[in-house]
Amino acid sequence: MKRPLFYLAIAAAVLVLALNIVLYRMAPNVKIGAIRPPSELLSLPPKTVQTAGNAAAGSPCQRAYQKFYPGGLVKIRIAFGYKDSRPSRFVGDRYEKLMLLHYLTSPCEEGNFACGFKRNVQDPDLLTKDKVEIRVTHSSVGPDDELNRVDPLQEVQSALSESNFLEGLHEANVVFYNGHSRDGGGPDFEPPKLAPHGLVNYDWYLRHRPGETKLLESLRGLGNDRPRPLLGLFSCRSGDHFLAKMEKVGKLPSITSPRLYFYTDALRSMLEALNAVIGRYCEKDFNDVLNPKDSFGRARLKSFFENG
Amino acid sequence: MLTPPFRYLCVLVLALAPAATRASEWVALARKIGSSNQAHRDSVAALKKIKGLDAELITAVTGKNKYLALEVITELKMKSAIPRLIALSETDENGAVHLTLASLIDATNAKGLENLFLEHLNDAAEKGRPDVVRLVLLDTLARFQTLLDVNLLHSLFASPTPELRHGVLYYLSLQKNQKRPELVKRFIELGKKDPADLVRSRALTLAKANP
Repeated sequence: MKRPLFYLAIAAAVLVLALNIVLYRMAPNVKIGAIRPPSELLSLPPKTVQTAGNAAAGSPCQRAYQKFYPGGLVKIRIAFGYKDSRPSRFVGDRYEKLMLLHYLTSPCEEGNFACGFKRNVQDPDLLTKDKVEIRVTHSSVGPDDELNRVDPLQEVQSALSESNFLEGLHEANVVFYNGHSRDGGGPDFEPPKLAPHGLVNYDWYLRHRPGETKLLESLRGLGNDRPRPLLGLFSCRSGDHFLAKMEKVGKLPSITSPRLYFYTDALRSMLEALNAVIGRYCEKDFNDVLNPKDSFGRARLKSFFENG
Repeated sequence: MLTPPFRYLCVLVLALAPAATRASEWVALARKIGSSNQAHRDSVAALKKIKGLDAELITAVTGKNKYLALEVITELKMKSAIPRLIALSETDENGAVHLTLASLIDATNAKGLENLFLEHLNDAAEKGRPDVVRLVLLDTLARFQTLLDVNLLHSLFASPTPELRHGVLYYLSLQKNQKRPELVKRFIELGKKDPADLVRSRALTLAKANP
């Protein structure tokens, strides 16, 4: 009686061992010559991609970018929302902005485009390189939500980042938001409305939808005199929360997420998208970098190449 | 019958298999920490029930799920991770390790962690610590009410990064029972001349609070 059970256990063990070996070999960070160190938050792997620059003349990819960037200067806006971590008091968008700036101002490695930028001394939110300018803003004045709420500069900082986002829709080619969705009440650049026990008052956001209302109003004001910007919403389940309503207002190139975003996934996804728009990646490669096989982060690119 | 070495191998494999399952379990739960209030509570409660999670997270802080592991350590206030985090803090590239340590501060470890943060801010230039790490250190020492050396404050204020210069003024604004009013005045004057709006605004706010 005991012997068959023993052999069954051994067979199961061998199966588990074999499965572990297969999974271990499949893990991207152990591949020979792997180029994405797993613990480096914003280290993007060099890759060979098809871009508008190396695509066939007159290809849909080239045509899409020619329509999207009609002028000489490419204007990009990145607005970090107020990234509190309620019920904890910690607020992290200042740090995330500095992480991103560190990357953007570092020398370029092969195959990367969102790098080598210079910060303007008088206007340090502005970064420039060749014919690309990026304006990056954050929303919180300090790392403590309790202190931010009584800080006289908080309102100013919130307004600065919000206007970078909303005005960017009318002035820039690309506008990215990285922050909270507030369950559909975002994008949000201010300290959150709180419920008892220091929790975010999601009911209030669902009833009032302040961020979404402002976003839709701004989109309604877009004229037809210039191409619509690519709007990237790197926030939790932004596709479910905002996409249908945005599309009701009018066709808009967009990047949204179908999932909950951990902050590192959102940062990484945004940086990949930034690389793609600056490097003018063609459709397949653009989609591939937004949906890497070795990462949980997922993003959906829509209505960007359709007119190519 | 199997020979003893193979038997031990089988036992080892069987022992490791549940660990692999648990790893994916905590990762999935960790991803829900930042979601709505109820999902947050549920995921933290479920994480607390996972046996042996401490050891697993301490290993995970150098793996591909590093940032999720740090998040869980913060959420569960996992003090057993402190020695490992201190070792990793030396090479912290974006402040995440220092922030996790800061989230674990309590009365029993405050002095030791304050000294570590001060040491890292003092040698930040020499060790080439990134600006974001310097800002995390400065913010945390402000929370500690640590009296920072005047030369250190000046060297931080000489940074080309406006967020760091703002950080110095912010640090000064958080000092309770201001013991160095002349120093504050000096930095207010420097801040008023700063090319960045962010820094000038903070200098003016600081001036208003310290007439």
